[in-house]
Amino acid sequence: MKLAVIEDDKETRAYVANGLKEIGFVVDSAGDGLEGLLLAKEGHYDALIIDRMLPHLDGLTLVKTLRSSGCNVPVLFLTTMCGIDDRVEGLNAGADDYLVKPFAFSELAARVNALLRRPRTTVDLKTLQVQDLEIDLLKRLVKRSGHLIELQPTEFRLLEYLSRHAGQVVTRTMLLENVWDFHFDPKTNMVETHISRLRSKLNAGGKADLILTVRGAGYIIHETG
Amino acid sequence: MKLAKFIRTSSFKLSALYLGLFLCSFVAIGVSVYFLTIHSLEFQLKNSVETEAKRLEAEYAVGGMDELLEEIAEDEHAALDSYGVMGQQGDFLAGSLKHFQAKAGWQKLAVGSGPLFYVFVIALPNQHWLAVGHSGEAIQKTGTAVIEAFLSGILLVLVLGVGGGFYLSHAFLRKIQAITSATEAIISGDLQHRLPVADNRDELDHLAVLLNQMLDKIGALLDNVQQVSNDIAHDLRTPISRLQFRLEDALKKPLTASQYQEHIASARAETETILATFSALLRIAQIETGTRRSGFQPVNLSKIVLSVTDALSPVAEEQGKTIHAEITPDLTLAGDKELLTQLIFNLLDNAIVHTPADTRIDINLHLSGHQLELVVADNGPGIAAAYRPKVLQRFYRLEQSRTTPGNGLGLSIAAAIVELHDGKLDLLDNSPGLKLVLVFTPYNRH
Repeated sequence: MKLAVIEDDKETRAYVANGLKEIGFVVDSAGDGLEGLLLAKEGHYDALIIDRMLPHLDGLTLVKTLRSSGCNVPVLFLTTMCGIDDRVEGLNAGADDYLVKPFAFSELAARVNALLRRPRTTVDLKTLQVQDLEIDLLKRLVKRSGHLIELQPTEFRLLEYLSRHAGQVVTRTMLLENVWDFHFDPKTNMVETHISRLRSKLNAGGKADLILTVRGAGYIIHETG
Repeated sequence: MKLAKFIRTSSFKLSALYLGLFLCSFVAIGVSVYFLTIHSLEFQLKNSVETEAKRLEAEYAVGGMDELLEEIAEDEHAALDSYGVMGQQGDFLAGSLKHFQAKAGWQKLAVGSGPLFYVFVIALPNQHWLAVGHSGEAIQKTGTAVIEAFLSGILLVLVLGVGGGFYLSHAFLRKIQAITSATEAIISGDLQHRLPVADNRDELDHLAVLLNQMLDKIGALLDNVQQVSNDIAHDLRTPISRLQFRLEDALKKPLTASQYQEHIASARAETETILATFSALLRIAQIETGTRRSGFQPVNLSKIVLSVTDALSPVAEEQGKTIHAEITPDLTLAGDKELLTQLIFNLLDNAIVHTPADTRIDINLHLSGHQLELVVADNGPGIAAAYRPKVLQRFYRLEQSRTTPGNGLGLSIAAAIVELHDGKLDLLDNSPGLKLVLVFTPYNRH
């Protein structure tokens, strides 16, 4: 997988690029908007990580230019612009995800992985199958090893999100944003509480844990047991 | 130079235009008054002269020439009218009127250098002519008086108009000058300075009032920024120095790898707290600027309350507390969904965090009269009345909650969000416990 990091701050650029290289990506980088645009247009990347504030050509314009030229490579904005409207603006410009600096590298890695796995065109799935888990998305039913598990609507959404991203680390923030639509950081163990409830329902009858905790990063459901 | 400046002002141009129009109509009125007055006076004069002439003609018919001449001599003496009789050879037989033409009807006669005479001539038998005349002096004087009156009127109008124009332009320029110097004062840094507003409230004053409101708003925003930097300076100092101590501590003596890891982990936790506080402060500041208001849309508050309650109920249960929700469905208000979600979250989270186990928390959303009322109440220890307003301030933490996690900004954010939505937030006594009452205007009543 080939990524491009477009970021003007040298240290951040090196931190991000090296980190991504360490977990197995091929990474190119650019230090300003114009250079970044050239790179993005010619390089056939699987995903772009772009800073919002760049010299010569700002990130927002860069993404708009890319999108208008028909390039639909996934884009993640990496930015210090944490204004409440900035995220909306960034997503409206055509970015796929938005991460505010400072960030934990694990958060970035999880989000990049999610972007790469995100189907370019949404497929309407009717069922999800992960290990011995079976989720009927239409009837909103969950079975584990054939046994029906009764879930609350929130627990169902939580499990659905984790299963759709099976094999990937899903962070707490990703869950907050996508399951609850909370775009702020609640300083409580809310996510942990919901996860542990879901776990205990899924593990009823002494079955092995489906949802695994990745320390300092988030949660993961592996595709195969 | 100064004159040119005056003449260029819009008020001077406007008053010049009005002055011109006024003068034109004044002249038109003057001309018609003059002619109407003259005409009506002439009419009266001619009437009386004709009557006199007819009377004398009648005298002549009865008493002949002698009688006529006698009558004329008497009447001339009374000196009301002037008379004249012309004989066959064009000789003047009697009276003071001479040189009139032997022709029946009206004629005007100049007598010496005096005023014109209006003379009415009647043909008597035997080619004698009788003339009765009256001096036009009165008419002429009246006409002159009318013209003089109007001329002095015009003069007065001109003086007042030009003077008024200058006065108005001067007043206008003075106002502009005042606004200019006020603006310069503001530009040079005196942000408390405001544009002058006169009592008469003309367009310029309205503009000045509006600009002053804008300046107030900008001032409030600047204060806000100032407040944020003060808060940061004041309240981030402690955790940052704590972080520094820890790092210095770690550097003091050689440690094992696991000890280093421990230090790094605690330093990282400290930076996380700092960043969280930092973004909470920025968030409050952003909310307080009110820019989010432009994106307001109808928001289903009932759904938000339901989803937040749903999200936090397990957390409460885990701590041995219960949340009881009573929510009237589909209550909407114009607002920002994301912020309202955070508002409800902060209120409910606050109730969970700051109460002991076995606390019952009630959240209740309903219509009260024409208003949306949201009540978040608990039967915990509550807050003494004296401290209630303080908990809405930034960083304020009650003694009892110093040890609980948090940065003292949750309720400040909530208060800012309520303010943004033109709502009201009251902290009341639930005896026992705390009762938060929020009131909003529902969407359909906007």
